[in-house]
Amino acid sequence: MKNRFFTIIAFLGLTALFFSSCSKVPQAEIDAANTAIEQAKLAGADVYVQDNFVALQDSLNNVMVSIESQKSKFIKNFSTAKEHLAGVTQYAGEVKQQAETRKEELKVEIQNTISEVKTLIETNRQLILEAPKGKEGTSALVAIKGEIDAVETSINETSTLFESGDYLATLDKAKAAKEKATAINTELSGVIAKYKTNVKNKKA
Amino acid sequence: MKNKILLLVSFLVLVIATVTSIRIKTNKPPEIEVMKAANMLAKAQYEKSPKFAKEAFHEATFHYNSAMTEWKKQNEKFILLRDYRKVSEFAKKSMEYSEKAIDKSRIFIASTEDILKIRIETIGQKIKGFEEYYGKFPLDKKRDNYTRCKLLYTESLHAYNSKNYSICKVKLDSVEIVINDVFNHCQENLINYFEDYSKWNEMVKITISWSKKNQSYAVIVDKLNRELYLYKNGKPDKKYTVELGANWIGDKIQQGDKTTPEGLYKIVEKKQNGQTKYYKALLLDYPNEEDKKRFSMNKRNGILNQDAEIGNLIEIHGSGGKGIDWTDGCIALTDKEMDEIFKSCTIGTKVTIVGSVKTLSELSYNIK
Repeated sequence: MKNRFFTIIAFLGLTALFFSSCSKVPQAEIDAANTAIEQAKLAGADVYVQDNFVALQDSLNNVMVSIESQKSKFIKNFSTAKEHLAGVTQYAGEVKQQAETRKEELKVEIQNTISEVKTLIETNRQLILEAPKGKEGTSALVAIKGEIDAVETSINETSTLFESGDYLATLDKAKAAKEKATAINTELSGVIAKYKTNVKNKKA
Repeated sequence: MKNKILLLVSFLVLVIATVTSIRIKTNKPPEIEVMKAANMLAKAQYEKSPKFAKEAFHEATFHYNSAMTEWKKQNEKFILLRDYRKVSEFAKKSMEYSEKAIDKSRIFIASTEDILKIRIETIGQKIKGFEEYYGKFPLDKKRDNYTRCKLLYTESLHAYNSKNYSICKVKLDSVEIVINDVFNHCQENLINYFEDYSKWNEMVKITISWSKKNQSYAVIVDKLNRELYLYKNGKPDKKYTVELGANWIGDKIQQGDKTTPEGLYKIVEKKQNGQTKYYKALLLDYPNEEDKKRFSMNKRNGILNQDAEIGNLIEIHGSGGKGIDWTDGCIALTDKEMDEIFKSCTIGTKVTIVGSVKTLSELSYNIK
């Protein structure tokens, strides 16, 4: 009878041990997921791939809820949570990559726009030289020159913004400068074309 | 004795098992509530609540974190002593705040979008209006600010299209300050300029009656509207568009101010091609006696430097039609138009240059 009693106790103890082996909170996996999310954030995921970053955080929150839920149970099982955490960590890596790709795309777009604006500035300065002048040369073109200068100042300011890493604002600024430089180019070309037509008519 | 102990232990185990199972059944972990709170929080983030409904979103996050902390705290306790009611309360509160944040954010975005759209349109109209009415007004140092402001306006449009509303608002604020400033500056200048209207009107009347009386041509130049009227026997015969000096507003004060003078003048020389670097020219008798008198007075009063010169060689000439004000104070026309005027005018033809032949109220300047 005594032996039987101890056998039952031993069986219960072993069963408890079996379940406890699965009941350890997957802290290492939680830490890995958090670190991966933090790295994605450092890569600018919360700015450049905002929606994906929110989805990522939401996934982690859901896993944390399921972990607490398991912790509340008498018999705990974290194996599903572990799988999900691995998934979150992997997804965080992907989101980080997406953010970096988007940043690279923006950088290229910014550099191209800046380069286009610089070319337009040069062309516009050249057009100024061809534009009709008064007795004292360029007096009537001062306003347009001022506009070209303002575009140049603005495009120089984009470098500071670019260095600060705010690529979205930088692109907006560069695009605005491009629009203005293009408008000046159209205006100057129009004036020159009109002037040339007049000169041609005069010769005819 | 042994049987009694076994019975007692079994009974105790049974009691504990019953109590535990009842307790577990009645004190279920709030998984569904917390999960819902987490999802609602994510939804609030998608709806840009952290940006547009900061307070409500902050409360939602705070209550969600509190729910999780409380849950952890309860889980650390012995299973029979756990109480998840607070966790549920926090989760519910978090959901409430998330919902509030979502609503607020949606309303804010919709209203901000509308407000900014209206502001963009209004300011755009203002810039367009400014270009239309005051585009040719000399702005001096304010020109740089205005140029910068136009660039900022374009930037604000980009910010709006990228849904970057706070940046768009900041840029529009700056644009509005500058455009209002230059608008007021030009409006003030225009009102001041028109203080001379009665004088201009008198000069126009004198010129027309001279043309009528002498049965000859006379020229009236309207600087503001860039128009040259050719009168014949006291009646308007033809109208031409002219180009002036870059700093055309106001009367000419001294040499080099790039201003077209205002007053009663007459043609003193007709220059054929070869006698002028432009396409034909009609030389005016600027400075006349009145100009000389005013120039000397300005010098005496210290308005002008002692080494200032009065200027001369004010002409009506060709080589114009460039579409911009480019002369140093002369009046330029296209060569074809110059031919017509040159043919009609003789030495002695009166040329009257005024700010405007129309009153300010007759012009569409919408002065407030």
